[in-house]
Amino acid sequence: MLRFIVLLSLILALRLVLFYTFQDKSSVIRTNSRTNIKVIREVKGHLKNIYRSALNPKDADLLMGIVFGENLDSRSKEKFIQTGVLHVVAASGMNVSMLTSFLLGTLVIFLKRQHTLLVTSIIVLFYVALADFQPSIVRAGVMALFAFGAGLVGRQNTSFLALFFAAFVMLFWDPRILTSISFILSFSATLGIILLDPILKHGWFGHSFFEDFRTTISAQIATTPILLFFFGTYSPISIIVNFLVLWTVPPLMVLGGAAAVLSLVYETLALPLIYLALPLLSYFQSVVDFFAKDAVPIETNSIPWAIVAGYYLILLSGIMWLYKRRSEKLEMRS
Amino acid sequence: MKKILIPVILSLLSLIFLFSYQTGQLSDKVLTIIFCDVGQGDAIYIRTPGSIDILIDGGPDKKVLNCLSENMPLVDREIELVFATHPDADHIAGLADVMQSYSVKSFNTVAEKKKTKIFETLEKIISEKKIPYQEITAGSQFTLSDGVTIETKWPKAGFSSQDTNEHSLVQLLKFGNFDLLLTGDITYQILDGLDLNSDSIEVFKLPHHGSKTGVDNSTFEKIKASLAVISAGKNNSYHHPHPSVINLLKKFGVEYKRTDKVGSIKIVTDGKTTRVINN
Repeated sequence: MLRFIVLLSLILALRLVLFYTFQDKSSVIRTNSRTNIKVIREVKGHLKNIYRSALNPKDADLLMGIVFGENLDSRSKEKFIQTGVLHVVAASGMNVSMLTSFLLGTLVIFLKRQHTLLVTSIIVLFYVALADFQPSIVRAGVMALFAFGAGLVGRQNTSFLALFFAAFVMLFWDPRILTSISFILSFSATLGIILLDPILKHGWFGHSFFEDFRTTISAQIATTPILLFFFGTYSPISIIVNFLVLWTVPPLMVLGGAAAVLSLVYETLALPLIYLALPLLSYFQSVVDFFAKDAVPIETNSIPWAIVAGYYLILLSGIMWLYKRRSEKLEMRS
Repeated sequence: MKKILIPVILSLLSLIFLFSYQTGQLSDKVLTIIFCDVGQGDAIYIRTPGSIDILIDGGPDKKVLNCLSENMPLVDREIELVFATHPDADHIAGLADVMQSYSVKSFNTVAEKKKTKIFETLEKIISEKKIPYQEITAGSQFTLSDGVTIETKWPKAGFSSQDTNEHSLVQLLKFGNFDLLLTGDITYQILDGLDLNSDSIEVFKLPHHGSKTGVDNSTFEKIKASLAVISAGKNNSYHHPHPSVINLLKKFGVEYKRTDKVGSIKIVTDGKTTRVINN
């Protein structure tokens, strides 16, 4: 595995050096990041109308955000930022992993494994396009397919490798993404979850009830200094808000996603599912509204990069130490 | 699987509960009026005892949608009557979003048109969505099956003026002993000359966000209102409501509420007694 990582890193380094040496200045200017493919636009418009036919616009937008990472209106967005739950509507990688595991699970009954992977890849690609190729979605898409591909050749426990591979693919495709904040956040959050969750699981928060809590804490440990570095603000209330709302996200994705698919067949079929999503959406909104009122973010005037770097060095050594201690314990037991 | 199934069951239970709760609450047979806090603009949502939804103006932007979603029943996506009092952006811009998000059953406005982008957008949406459209003048009346009537007092047919505000719809909504006077951005010169045919007005929406062009001394001599409502934005650049208007209200002892101070204002009446509910 190590040899594989080193090889990919070398290729990537070469690509980055070449890219930045021969960079065309005009390519630095980025244009509108919205996907402008007609079919995608139409499908999205159709889905938005379906959601809006049964829900009030605020809830419809939230559902659209949870399922496809669509943007919220500025007032709601502000509240979501204040309470630290914007990641839910910024198309978290959870969407892709759920979609992929669902597709793989069902398709494999009817198709050969290789064909399953191919069909799944095509549908995931379509979904990624629906979500405007947001970095977090692309990352999750590559990771999910990689993990399954690895499963085909009989490898297990590949999340770290999958993450690395996803970073490689995305950076190779477009090296400029290295400076994109959403890319950096998406990767550090995922890395945080991969590395820290197993540690927390063996601590006080082992019970599955705390799963969302663990995920939030892991992601926050890994991203807070970056957030502070780039934006200068952090809202401590986000831990509570995330704990309160995250459990609604998987069912909302399933309900919203299933409604979307059914609506393509026959619109009325989708309505019961959308109505079923309504109480969860209202709950989500009320929690956000309630906490947004008194959210007091911590603000700092830019922290020096050296402190951020130091933080991550200490964090990494801490993680490595804990992992080492755990494997020693396991060895002693066996 | 458990992570999805349990929340979905919970959701189903609360949906059943919400549905029965709202059905119970709506059978109360009351008229509810909400002066939405939409900043500097007007948007008034009314739900009649017979569950008919009425919207008078849509405010300057999307904010009206929040007001509607907070006050309309969860599964109701239809607005039976929409009135645009006159074609100024702070009254009609939000209606575009409303028509995109809700199924609007009829759109009623004055004959006066305006060559603005937002006005053209509205016209486009109305024709695309085939929303029944009607221009109304003084004398036209909407009589609803639940006893609510909405009478148009102004503009009279054929009226012409350079000032769009003078074309504003003036409407009197009646339910039992309850009278609500809606005035758009009308000027006192016109308002004072209208025959309202009503002894007492329970709620008077002051014209033009409390501007001094909307009311004068004789307005209050003529209109005996129990409550005046001013729909204005916090720290708006027009400095609405004008201090002279506030002085008039104090002079005539009219109680008043301002959306820029208290947010949306909710009024509930059964036709006999009227309550004001602050958010």
